[in-house]
Amino acid sequence: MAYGFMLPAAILVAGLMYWPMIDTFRESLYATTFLNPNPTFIGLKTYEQLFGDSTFWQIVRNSIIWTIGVVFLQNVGGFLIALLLNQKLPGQGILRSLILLPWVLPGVVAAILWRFMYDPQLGLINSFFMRLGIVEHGVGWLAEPSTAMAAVIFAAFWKGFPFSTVVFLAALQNVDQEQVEAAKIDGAGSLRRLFDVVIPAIWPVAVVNVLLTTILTFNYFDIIYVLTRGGPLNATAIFPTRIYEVGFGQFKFGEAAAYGSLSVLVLVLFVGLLLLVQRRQVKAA
Amino acid sequence: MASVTLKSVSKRWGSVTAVDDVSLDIADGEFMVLLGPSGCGKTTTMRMVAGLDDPSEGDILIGDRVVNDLAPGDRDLAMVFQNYGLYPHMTVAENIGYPLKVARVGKAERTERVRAAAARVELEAYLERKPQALSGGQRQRVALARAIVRTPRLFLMDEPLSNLDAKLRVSMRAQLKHLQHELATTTIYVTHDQVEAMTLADRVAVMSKGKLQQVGAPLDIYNRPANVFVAGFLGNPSMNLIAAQAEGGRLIHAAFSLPADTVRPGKVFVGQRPEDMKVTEPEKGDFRGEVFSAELLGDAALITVRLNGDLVAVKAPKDVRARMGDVVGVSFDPAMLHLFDGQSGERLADRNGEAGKVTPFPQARGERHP
Repeated sequence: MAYGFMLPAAILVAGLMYWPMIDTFRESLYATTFLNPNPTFIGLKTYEQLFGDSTFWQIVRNSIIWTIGVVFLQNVGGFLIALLLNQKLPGQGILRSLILLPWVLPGVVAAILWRFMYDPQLGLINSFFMRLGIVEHGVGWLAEPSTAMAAVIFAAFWKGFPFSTVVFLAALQNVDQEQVEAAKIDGAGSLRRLFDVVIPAIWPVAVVNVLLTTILTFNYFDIIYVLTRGGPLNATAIFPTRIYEVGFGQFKFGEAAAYGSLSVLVLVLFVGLLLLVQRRQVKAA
Repeated sequence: MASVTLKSVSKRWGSVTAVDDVSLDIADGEFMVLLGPSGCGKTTTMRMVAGLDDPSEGDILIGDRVVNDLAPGDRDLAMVFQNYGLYPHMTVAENIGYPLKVARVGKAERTERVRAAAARVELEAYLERKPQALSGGQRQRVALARAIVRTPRLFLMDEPLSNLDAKLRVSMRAQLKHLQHELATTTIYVTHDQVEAMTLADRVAVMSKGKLQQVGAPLDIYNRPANVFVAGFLGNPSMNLIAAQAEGGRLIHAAFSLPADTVRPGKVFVGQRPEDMKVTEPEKGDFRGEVFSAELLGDAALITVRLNGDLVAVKAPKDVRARMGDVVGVSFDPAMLHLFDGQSGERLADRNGEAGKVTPFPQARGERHP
């Protein structure tokens, strides 16, 4: 009886969420291109081709570098800024609202903004570095394969850190002040209090935050696509941009579906690894 | 060991004055209780001694050193918090040993001292547990052990027993008293519970609205409260305080009058503790009135009598049976009267040392029958 009541919702969820996923996987087993719109079943041949393709491995590597870079900067940076905002500062209310600005901006707008920032001729970053004498003449940050990834990671960090900051700030405000004061009385300095009391207290929130930002970052599309379209030479191509490129740029639907299925697999492995590490830490503590 | 001195200490937050010009000397080894209702400034006073809040004005001395600018950790004191302030991710042993770890005490010595401190509060069996796995009383003892482990010069305790159930509180109170006596460490103890104050303190400092009201040994304060606030706050049930008029050498109330030749004319509060009064036959007694309520306390009965517009509580032996609406007599103990100025609330000088006879003032007007 009870199951009966749940059935409509279950069907809806299955239909809306799981069917497209399964259908994507099915699609990846067919050769479907713009020139050959009638799908022909080819089994796992697309996957075989992908695994033998250096571009695919570059995308896996890029995705991991990109995700770890952005998640690390976002969480560490976000936490440090949250610590700062948690102090009693004049105008802290306004600061806390202002800090949200990058996150509120639409991704495309933020990306266009950063394209100006990185512009070799007009960009603020080049002009800043040139004034400091760090570079001689304008660098095409987004055009150099060696700097493009760092540049997009930094832009994504800027766009995403307010989310981590807000979450960490909420956690910091829930830290039991009595414990902090007990540590003060016990003679612990501010760094010691941070590591011995504050960080352990917010650790569960930090873990969830890392998980969330990992998933969001791995699937991030707009910043990279607007800034570099995955270029130059696939230096910043990650799964979402590659899927778009292959599917809607080259109309290789089968290959795009294979990329999509694999991206889910990589993400699941990635998150699973994170959870495993976290569980070990909890056990060790 | 150290004495503590507060010199005209005040604490203000904006326009709010939490502690107002408090001066207090606490002797070496003394158990000083700061007593008062919530919001009276007692916790703020203690936090300033701890260094968790900075005084807006005045100096705080521990020993003969001004500590205003010392960080809490450098003041060589330990504090027990109301919710114990234990570190949830550390074991009991790690919690107790934390002050030593911060002070870079070697591991072997640390283990030894933690064990000794735990033994003092009977926690040896729980050293490897986390605080969540302990009862309230056990957590309390962990907090105590953490306080005593580094043998500080001063203990600060902020309502440490308020989260325990009534029975445990009584036994922890005894343990605390014993422990402080053994260690002979100067202790400042904050509470709103006057029974804790009476039982634990060498001296009590009563506070209200940021101001120190009276400092003295518990019995002195109980017997000679300095003002109406202290009179009403200490003692359970609290002292009866009735407004009367001083006139021509007498105190006049609608239900009685008393000789009081030294009291200047004006409004006066007449106070007497319920245990100093007696319920009598209606014809005897100094006045009579209708029983407003009768409560059996167990070891005694609390009988509240309507005395014209005022209510007077009398602590009677438990076998006194009075029903609501009965008319009973009530007698004063003239030797145990407390008189307070009607304006300032300050205690008035005792009336010439002589007790004075309580004169019932026309009996007929003392009653109020429906």
